[in-house]
Amino acid sequence: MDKKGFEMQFNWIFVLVAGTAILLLFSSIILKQKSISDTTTKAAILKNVESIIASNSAREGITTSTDIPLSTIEISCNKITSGKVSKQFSSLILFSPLKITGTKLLATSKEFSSPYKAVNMLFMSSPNVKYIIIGDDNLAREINKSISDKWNKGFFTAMPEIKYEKDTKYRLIFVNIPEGSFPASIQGMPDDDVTALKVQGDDAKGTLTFYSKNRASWKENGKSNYITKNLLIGAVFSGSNENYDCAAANVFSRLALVSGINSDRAGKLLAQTVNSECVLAYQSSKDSFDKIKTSSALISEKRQILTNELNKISIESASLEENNQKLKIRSCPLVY
Amino acid sequence: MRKRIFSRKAQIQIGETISVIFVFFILLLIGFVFYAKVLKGNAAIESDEMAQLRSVEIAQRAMFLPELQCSSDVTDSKNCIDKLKIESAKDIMRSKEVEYFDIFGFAKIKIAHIYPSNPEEEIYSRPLSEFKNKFSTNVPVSIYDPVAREYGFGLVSIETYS
Repeated sequence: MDKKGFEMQFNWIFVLVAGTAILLLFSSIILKQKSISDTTTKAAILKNVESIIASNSAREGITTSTDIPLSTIEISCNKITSGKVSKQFSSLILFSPLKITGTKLLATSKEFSSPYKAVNMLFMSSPNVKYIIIGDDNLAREINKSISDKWNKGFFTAMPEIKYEKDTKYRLIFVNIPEGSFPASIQGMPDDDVTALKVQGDDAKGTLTFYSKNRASWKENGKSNYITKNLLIGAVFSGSNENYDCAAANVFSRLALVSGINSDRAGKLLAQTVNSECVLAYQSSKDSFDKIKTSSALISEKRQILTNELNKISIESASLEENNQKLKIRSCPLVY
Repeated sequence: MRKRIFSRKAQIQIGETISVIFVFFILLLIGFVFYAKVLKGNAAIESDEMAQLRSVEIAQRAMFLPELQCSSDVTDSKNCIDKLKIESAKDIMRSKEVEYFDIFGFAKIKIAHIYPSNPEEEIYSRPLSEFKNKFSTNVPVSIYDPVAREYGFGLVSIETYS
């Protein structure tokens, strides 16, 4: 090879190396930018969810619809994840499916009162999840009435013929009726896309059984309990009994705190009142607040919705309602 | 003689290519520095907006806290704080700091009684010693004394840090 040929070859090798280096540089910049953009989008989605949680903790009963970029949000106990970005909470009161996929987030909140307001509970889902309420009693009608028409829902007195709709997930709510056999029309759907809840009780208290789809049958995943209709609505929106128990335990944690404050307040009213008829009501109310505080703290500590403790809370709530009524009649300051 | 001319020409060509690539990378670097500065500026604006939004959210949360809200015998329990609850709420928020940190984050919440008396009570205090932003929100409220059955006037001041 003469020197000219060698120089030409070297020139080409140089161009090749420099070209590859430039290409690699640009490719890595594009990949990095894409990954940053993805993370930013996921972080923005989480910020959206946080804003929804914050705004709904201040108002009650309004259903909001928020547009988000197409994504999947995973909700577990005290944790929300979107892609690689996640946010851990110390006490998250959010009832929702385990995964929310889509471009819209529906959210509403309802207060938990037993009988005084302790906290606003947030319910979140997507229009892709269809809630089918099946039951023929007042409770089933009440549940249907409590869920706004903005949600994708249906109400039936008996098991309907469910038509398979593309990209739709189903949540079946059996209210005081057995779950029966698995609907044939949706047997071909992926197991994660169909869940069910069986409610046995009334609007004051009852038991909950959570089911998931296992090929062509129902698989029982766990049982839990509820008091008040709004906590029952929380179970309707919860994707699993673990998530329900976690959010409900957080509700009772707040109930314990608010009960402690109300107990102190009842003590102050007791110390400053001169009306003998009201003294008894204040004393009894203070005891009730203390018992509710103890039971709620126990539920929150054990992270289990214990039937005995719920019963105690129900009894003391009824007693508080009665005492508040008595105080109203006697024109004394109310305890809550 | 001819060979030496070719060799020199090739060296000049390689030198030219290297200087073109050098200038190209310098321009690229300037571009990146400019882009990074614009991005940083946008991020700072976004961060400010987020901090302001968070401040409003915390103010909303504070105003609707059942730990402070008036009881049901009050005509309008919104924007109303029960005088008897303030002291207990203060103690609970101090003892259960972790629970309330989730709700308020780095913030300071004070209730100032303006009428009839004017003491100031700090019910939540978790400020940041070193902060970039500090936002203050003041919300006028009624302060109800259930024993005397009297309404007072106060101001809830919420300071958020980021």
